[in-house]
Amino acid sequence: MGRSPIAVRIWGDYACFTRPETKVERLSYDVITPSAARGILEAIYWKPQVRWVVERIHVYKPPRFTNLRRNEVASKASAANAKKAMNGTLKEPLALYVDEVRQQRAATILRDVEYIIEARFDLLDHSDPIAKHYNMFKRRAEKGQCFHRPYLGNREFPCDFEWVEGPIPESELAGERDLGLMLHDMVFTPVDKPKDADTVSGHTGEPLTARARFFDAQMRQGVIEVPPLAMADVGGHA
Amino acid sequence: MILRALNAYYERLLADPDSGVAEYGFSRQQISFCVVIDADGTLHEVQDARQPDAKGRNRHRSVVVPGNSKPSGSGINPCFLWDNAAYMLGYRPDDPKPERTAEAFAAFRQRHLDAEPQVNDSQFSAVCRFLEAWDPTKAIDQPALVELGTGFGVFKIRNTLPYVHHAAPVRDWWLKQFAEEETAEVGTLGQCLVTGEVAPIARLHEPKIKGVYGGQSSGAALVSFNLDAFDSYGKKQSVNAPVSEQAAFRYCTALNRLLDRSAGRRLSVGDTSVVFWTAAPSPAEDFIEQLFNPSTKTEDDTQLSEVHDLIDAIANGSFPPKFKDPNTPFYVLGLAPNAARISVRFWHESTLGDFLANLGKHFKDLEICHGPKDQPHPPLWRLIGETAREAKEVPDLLEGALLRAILTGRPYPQMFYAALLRRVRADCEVRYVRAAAIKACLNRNTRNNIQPLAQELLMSLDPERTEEAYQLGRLFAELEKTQEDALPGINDTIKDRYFGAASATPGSVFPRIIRMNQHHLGKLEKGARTYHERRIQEITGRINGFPSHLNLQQQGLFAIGYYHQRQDIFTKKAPKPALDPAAAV
Repeated sequence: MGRSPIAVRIWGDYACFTRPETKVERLSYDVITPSAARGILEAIYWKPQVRWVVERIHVYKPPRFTNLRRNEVASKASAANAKKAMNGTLKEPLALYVDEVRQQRAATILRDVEYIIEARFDLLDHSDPIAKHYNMFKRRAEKGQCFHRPYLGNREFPCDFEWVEGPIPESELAGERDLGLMLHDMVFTPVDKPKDADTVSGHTGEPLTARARFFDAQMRQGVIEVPPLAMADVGGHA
Repeated sequence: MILRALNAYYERLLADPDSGVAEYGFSRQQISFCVVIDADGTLHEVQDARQPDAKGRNRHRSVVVPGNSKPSGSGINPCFLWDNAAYMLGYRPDDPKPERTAEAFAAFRQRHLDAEPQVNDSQFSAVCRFLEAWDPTKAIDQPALVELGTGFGVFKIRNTLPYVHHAAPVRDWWLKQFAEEETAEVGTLGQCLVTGEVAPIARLHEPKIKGVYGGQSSGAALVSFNLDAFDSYGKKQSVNAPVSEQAAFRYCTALNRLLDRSAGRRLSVGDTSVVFWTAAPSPAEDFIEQLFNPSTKTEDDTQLSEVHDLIDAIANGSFPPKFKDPNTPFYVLGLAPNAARISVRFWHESTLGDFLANLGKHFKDLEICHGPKDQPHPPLWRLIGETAREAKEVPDLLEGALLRAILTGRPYPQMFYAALLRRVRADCEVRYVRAAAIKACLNRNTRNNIQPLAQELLMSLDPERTEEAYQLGRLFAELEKTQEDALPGINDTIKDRYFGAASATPGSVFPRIIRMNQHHLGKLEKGARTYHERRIQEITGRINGFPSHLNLQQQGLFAIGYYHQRQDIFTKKAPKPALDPAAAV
């Protein structure tokens, strides 16, 4: 088994990699998802010219769960109101009052996790050599620098990270385990009409559809091989 | 994984002709009345369709009917061949809005008359004739209807066996029409997270899940996005978690089935409804509820002893051969309601063998000496009951955490241990179940190296234990016994007054109760006095002093020491020849 160019060890006390079907009353997947791993890498280093590809996930601790309840809110801050406030035409103050929209939500989260993420970059823009991005990432990871604090699924569960040099240690988790279908990542595809869009690109403002892609996660000796994310969009509005 | 396992369970049910599980396009509803019509469409009578249950109470009859559920909302939305009396017969007791009831009946009649040419079935036509001729004002002549008032009804032709909607032509037409409707309604295609295939994505997951203790009676949803804070990427409702229509129906039906009281696949742990099932049929499924909560009733002695024999075997680490394959995957799902949503308290996947091994460890840890009236293997609800004055005071998270500890073989939650000790201090009582639970907590912590004891606690008195707290507990039991013997019939013993303080701050209590003990000894006959003095001396010889403070772990030891000694006092011993004849009273 070849090793990917980049490997980062991450660990933390709590984690919640929410399953989409149990998103409201949160229940975590057993292990980190590729998209959560990508989020951690992006927290350390992200440039518009590169796209992260998570290739393998090593799991070092058996999944253990615990329960938690938190007070959250039921609604989102209104984007339309924010726009009005920017124009100075909003009558009332721009705010969300927690005591009016309080929601208590339960969560079943992971405790005490440790992973190594193996990944590589794909270049979207070949004007810079890939070695430049690699070295920038390595330097940052070694120093513990990050754009924002990386976290394990939820912002409340920050994680520590370190650069892994040389061979990747073997996990003590033996045997095979079928983790079922797991969220791989969201696939964003540009659309022509803004009304068909699910979301807009934060970077370019372009209208996009967002589709969830799932993969069959199998853990063998603590290692999950992440297949490439097929870029073909599946289905559309009928 | 939950949805996938439930989906597989649905397939298992569908393959089993006895399961009576509803097919896609149909659902089970609680039916309370039945409109019986003659073949020419004249009304015969409205029957009470309820059945008496084992306790003689009338229960609604569960019938498979067309459609997923009664459509929600305030509009006029009649069901097909079943509905409430307002729709079916234009009758509602003490009707606040007679116009609306009339409208509802008209809509119901119209729907069926419109379908008549397509369905083309004599039974169905009879229903249509009845609907045409029916005068809602005559409904009060039907005593069964007036008595029942609310609830759902179905149609039946007199002297035929199944209900009208079970007739083959009606069924076929319904299925065809249902499939067409579904295709027309499809909004979004996407990858289904249960099957992995690209399919129409369900917007709402139906049927609703009923039978979660404390949930809404109309049912709640496991997968729901009912407020906009839950949406991501501008997606609405269940498109946020792409599940195909078929898969949604299947997992909901399977879960409803497990939650059904009569299925015996659920137990209540505090406010959590727990369901369990195996991937392949196994006789074990029928016993698991009993294993967690062994019945204390003696109505059925054979079954009772069968379950206790099973638990004995499991506690000794053996796998009962009649449960077949120990490698059968085994699932436990704990659900608790949060208004219209259901949250997953815990989800545990293992094999039958692992599960029983862990359950066995749990029962083994709980084993402690007890009186003849106490049932061995205390049920789960009693363990939880020992942590609070009444059931509603038990913290929600405790039950899930405790069950998780049992299922995984991990230490019991610290919250559980702390709650037990709090109760011990508050009501000065170390009963059998409480002592068993405290002992189990301490032993399991020791095994997992959390504040380990020098050695695990035994089932009964262990005079050689080195912990001072344990010996103090023993001493307290002896002091209490002396008082009881000296002042028989006394209301307020030292236990009632000093137990809590003695177990937390022995330094401030023991000197006083030892002084009191001198008075008690003085009241006793010589023989009895020597006997008590001797026993107290034996224990005090192992104590160096009275610490001013005991921590939580030591308080547990104190309680166990007290309980062990107390049990020892009341256990009949084989007469020992070496015993001093003067001490034998």
